[in-house]
Amino acid sequence: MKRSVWNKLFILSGFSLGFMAGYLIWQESTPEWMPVQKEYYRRLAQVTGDPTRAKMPLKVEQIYLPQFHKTDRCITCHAGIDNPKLADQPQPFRSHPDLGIPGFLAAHPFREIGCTVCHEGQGMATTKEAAHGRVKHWEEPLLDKDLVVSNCSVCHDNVFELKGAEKLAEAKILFDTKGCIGCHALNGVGNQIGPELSDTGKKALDELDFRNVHGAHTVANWIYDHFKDPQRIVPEDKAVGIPESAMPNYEFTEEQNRALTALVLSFAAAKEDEHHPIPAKYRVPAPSHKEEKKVYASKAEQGKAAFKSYGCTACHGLEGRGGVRNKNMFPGEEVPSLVYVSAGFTKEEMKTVIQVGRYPARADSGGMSPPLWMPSWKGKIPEEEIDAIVEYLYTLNPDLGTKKEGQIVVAPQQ
Amino acid sequence: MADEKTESPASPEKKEPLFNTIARTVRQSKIWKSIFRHGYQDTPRNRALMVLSNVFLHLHPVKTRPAALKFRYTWGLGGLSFYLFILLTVTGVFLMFYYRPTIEHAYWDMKDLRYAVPFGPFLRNIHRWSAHVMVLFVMLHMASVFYRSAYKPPREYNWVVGVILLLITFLLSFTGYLLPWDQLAIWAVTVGTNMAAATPLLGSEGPFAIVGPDMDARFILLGSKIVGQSGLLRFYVLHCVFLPLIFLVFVSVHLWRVRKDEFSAIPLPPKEEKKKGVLPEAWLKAHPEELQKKVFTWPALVSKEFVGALVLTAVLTLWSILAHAPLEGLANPNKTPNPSKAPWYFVGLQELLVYFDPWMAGVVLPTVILVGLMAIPYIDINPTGIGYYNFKNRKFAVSMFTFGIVFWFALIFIGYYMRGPGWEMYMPWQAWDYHRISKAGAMHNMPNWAGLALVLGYGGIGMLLPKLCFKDFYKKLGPIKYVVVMSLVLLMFFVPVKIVLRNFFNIKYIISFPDFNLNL
Repeated sequence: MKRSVWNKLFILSGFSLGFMAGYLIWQESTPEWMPVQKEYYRRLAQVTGDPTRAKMPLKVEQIYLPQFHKTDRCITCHAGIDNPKLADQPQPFRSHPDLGIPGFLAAHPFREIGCTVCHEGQGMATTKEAAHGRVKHWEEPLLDKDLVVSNCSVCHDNVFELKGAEKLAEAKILFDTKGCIGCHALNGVGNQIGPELSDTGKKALDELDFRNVHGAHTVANWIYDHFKDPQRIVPEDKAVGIPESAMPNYEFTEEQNRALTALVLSFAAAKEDEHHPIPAKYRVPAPSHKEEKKVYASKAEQGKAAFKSYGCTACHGLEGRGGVRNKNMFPGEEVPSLVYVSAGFTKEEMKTVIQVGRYPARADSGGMSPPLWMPSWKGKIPEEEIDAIVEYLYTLNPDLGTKKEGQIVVAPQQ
Repeated sequence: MADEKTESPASPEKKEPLFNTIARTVRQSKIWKSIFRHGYQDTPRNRALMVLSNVFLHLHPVKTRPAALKFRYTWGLGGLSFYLFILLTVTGVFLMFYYRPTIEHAYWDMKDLRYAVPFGPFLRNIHRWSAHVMVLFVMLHMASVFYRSAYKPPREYNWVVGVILLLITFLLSFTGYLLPWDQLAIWAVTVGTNMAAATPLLGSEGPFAIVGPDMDARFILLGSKIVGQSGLLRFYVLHCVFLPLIFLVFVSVHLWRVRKDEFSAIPLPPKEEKKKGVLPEAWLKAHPEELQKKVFTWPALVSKEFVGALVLTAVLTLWSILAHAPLEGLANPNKTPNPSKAPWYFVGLQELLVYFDPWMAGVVLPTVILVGLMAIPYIDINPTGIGYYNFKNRKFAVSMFTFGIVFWFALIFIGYYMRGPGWEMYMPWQAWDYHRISKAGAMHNMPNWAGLALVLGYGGIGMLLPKLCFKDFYKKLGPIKYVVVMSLVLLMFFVPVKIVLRNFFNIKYIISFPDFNLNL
């Protein structure tokens, strides 16, 4: 009686092991990519009129890139990537378009540089989900088409003059005119009120708060949603002790948001990646421009340029007209306008404020400290330019000339 | 000649079929006979020879008592643990063909195994899952040996060897944990090796440290202050060469001692005797012939071992088909996941980090546990229960051991399933909230005089009370064994005391000497 239990177990486990071994062999011999590659060769035979092509042996194809520390197996399915005869085929068979840029295809030999260097995704994987990187623990999934431009800066030093990267150039103009470096440092240039931007694009997913992000949890989606509505993405978080995002909502257009997202991603792409280095021979250095010494019509003109280039507009608004929200700030929960500073400060006092910086008063003394503050600019702006900025600010007062100098229009804040 | 059906192969006049001639020639050749040394006839002689003339099966005795063959006696745990070691060695050697222990390649070799190596995922999965099962089985094997008193004379020595094997199993699994070089690996090992840095005297962050971080216990393990290339290489060599060799040495001794000391199982009295409350020991004295009843190991035991291994293989294969071994993102020493957890079998100790400083939770307590386990056969002088499950006549030993092992697994469960970001408590079904505000109250320390008084009082009363209450207990054990037993018991119950003090009285340290890094 007892033996029969063991006999049954023997038969049961023996059969199930045999069955599972069969399943494993079947699984191994029918990978997901196989029918795709077969279809590719069928189409290739059709296009070239050479029926022997349809009977090519099926195998995992890879671009082995030891100098990049990469192996891209994308061409196992996207096998026609560099065959112009397949230009009209649907994905994944079609060849790579030339993007309307003459010389693009010749300059980017895919079998030499691979795919993931621009498109990202998991090059080593051989299933669609995993290869496109839309799996857990793969933090660089396939980039959206309009964001791939951000990876031009992996090799190209001056992307803003690059043909095909016009989007980045547009975004860079926005970046400069809105005065982003007034709060954010980029490679150390700028202020520390907001986070440094040069590595934002390479942040780990668990460093970002995705609770309010729509769509997939990718760094690109986070940045994009944050441009759309900063306070929704970074609300006040008492557990971690951070106030809500101080970044103004600039109400950019959809297109501008996408372009700015690509720009922020490109900052990180430009930095050297220790795991996937770019060999020097692939790097395209920026053409050397001669630094031209700019000549200004007046000290105030120089100040105006400096006011823009140091990012003062980010908080104080275009031409110092203010209007940027600063939660819990006294007075008015807004960064002060600078239009009437000439009425409240002497030039010496203004210079001191710029050099030393100041923390705003709180409207509600029990609340959080206002997220924006005036940083100390000493050492960041040359003294000559600070003087010029003060001169410029003095020209902003629309009442200048109609009112006597020294007359108080707005009481200076203490 | 007329009737072919009666033809017998023995009759020489009949013409032998060609196949039979070949088969007979082969079977009578010297080559065949040097491999298959005896025939297949089911005779007692051959049953004995099956075991005696085979170096592998020779680990078994020729004959065994039927009591040892009952599945519900051993649960097959020892044999299956050894089988898992063999399975892990085989799959591990295959994995070594595809793995390079460098921080540039290790993680990407895992990806290659997953996506490009034929049967690579299966190989890695079964290696991973078998390792978990082996750790579990070795622990359960120890428990089952305890409950059937198989560590008592003459098997004390083999119990100690077993505890050493348990430790090596932990270390084998722990060193293997680092090799995939992903975030899970590097941070689990960081948690583990940071505990080494808390060793008293020899750890740079431990009490009374006499060495700096560049020459302490952690540095010996990692060849560095943090988990990096040298640590990966060291763990690789330990995992693939050093520890398996040590394991092999000890497991050989372990199995050989089992052979020499015999299986512990003894025949049990019939039911009507049992009902009368007759102990097996007493019954055997009246029926000494029962002890001599034995059956041949081949096939009675070997067949069961074979089927057990087969069933386990089938289960592991199914598990490996259904679930992939975890592989998280590439290891990044600059980005600490929250929470970072040690491998599950060490999570119990990590959970203790809430209540104790690392020198206590990571070094002193595990050392005491191991030494205490090894001491069990020498301090347990109760001779009853050897070779069968008896709880009635060894209440003290069984309840203490059971408390310890349940406590150990409870801590693992809490640490593994109930701790979220910031090591905050979550129910297993609750979603983690990275933005939850900690509800833990403000902690304070006891004044040192009160703490010292508490510890001394706890130890003193704990030592004296059993002696006063149960005079027999002390008399039987003698002073040395009594002190050892009570120290172990008191230390074990000190852990829940500390848990209560922290959770209900917000007391962080009982005794605190920050100058020496000595906090309790």
